[in-house]
Amino acid sequence: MKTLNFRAVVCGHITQEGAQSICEIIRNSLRHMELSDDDLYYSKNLTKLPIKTVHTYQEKSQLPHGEGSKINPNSAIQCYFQGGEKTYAKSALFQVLVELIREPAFNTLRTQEQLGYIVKVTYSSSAKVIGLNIKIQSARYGADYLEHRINNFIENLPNFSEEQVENIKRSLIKEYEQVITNIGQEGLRFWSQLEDDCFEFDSIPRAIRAI
Amino acid sequence: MAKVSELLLNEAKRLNVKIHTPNPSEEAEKENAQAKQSNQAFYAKYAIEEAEIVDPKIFGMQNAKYPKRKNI
Repeated sequence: MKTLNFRAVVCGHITQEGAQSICEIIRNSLRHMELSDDDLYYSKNLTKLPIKTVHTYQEKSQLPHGEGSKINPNSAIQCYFQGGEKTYAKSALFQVLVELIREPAFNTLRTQEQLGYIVKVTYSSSAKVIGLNIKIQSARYGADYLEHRINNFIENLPNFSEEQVENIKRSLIKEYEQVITNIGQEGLRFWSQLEDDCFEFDSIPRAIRAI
Repeated sequence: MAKVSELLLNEAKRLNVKIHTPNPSEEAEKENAQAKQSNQAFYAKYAIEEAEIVDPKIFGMQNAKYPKRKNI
């Protein structure tokens, strides 16, 4: 390995000098050239999807073993709705939206329509771009059919009351306010900032304010 | 004596319950093909264009603000 990007999080009962000397030991033991900022940027980018377009990637998977059926009977779909570059306000909006539709999605697509054994609605934040994912895994229906049911679900979403929205906001804030119980959790929280290239170690109060 | 699976199958048929089979039946394939058309109608209704990404635009490339890291 010729080039490398080295990052470290040191937290706990340690002084700044102590943390720096730990990093120095690691850095010196790695014989590498530093990746340029440009290279690093290109390795962590995301394609911007044009507004009001749909892009489909479909693949038929063959069963590696088994007699009789040549096509894998399982299907899966992931519908990804790109939300644009991350701002605290937009991120808050998407998180509330995900929480609002999570339960109705599970109820409609999993319980009532029994489309598959996995039905998930998740919020995504990657390379400073936010999004919403709806995933279904099914042993019975094809991917186009699953998409059709997702479209139908979106089209028939109920109107959410102000009270429902307020409840979701309260529970999200509560989640953010949860006290960290161990140093591992604290480290992970800092590390997520490095992974996303945000370097915003005060992101929690800002996220709470945005919600 | 009838097997439990047979009894359950008969009961399901009697109650007109949709039976989930693991293999993609012709019916499921047909259902899927019909769904494709429904999806296209859905896109048309909301003026969503089915497109391929031929000239990908990367987020933030116009005014990339990559933070300079301090070497420690």
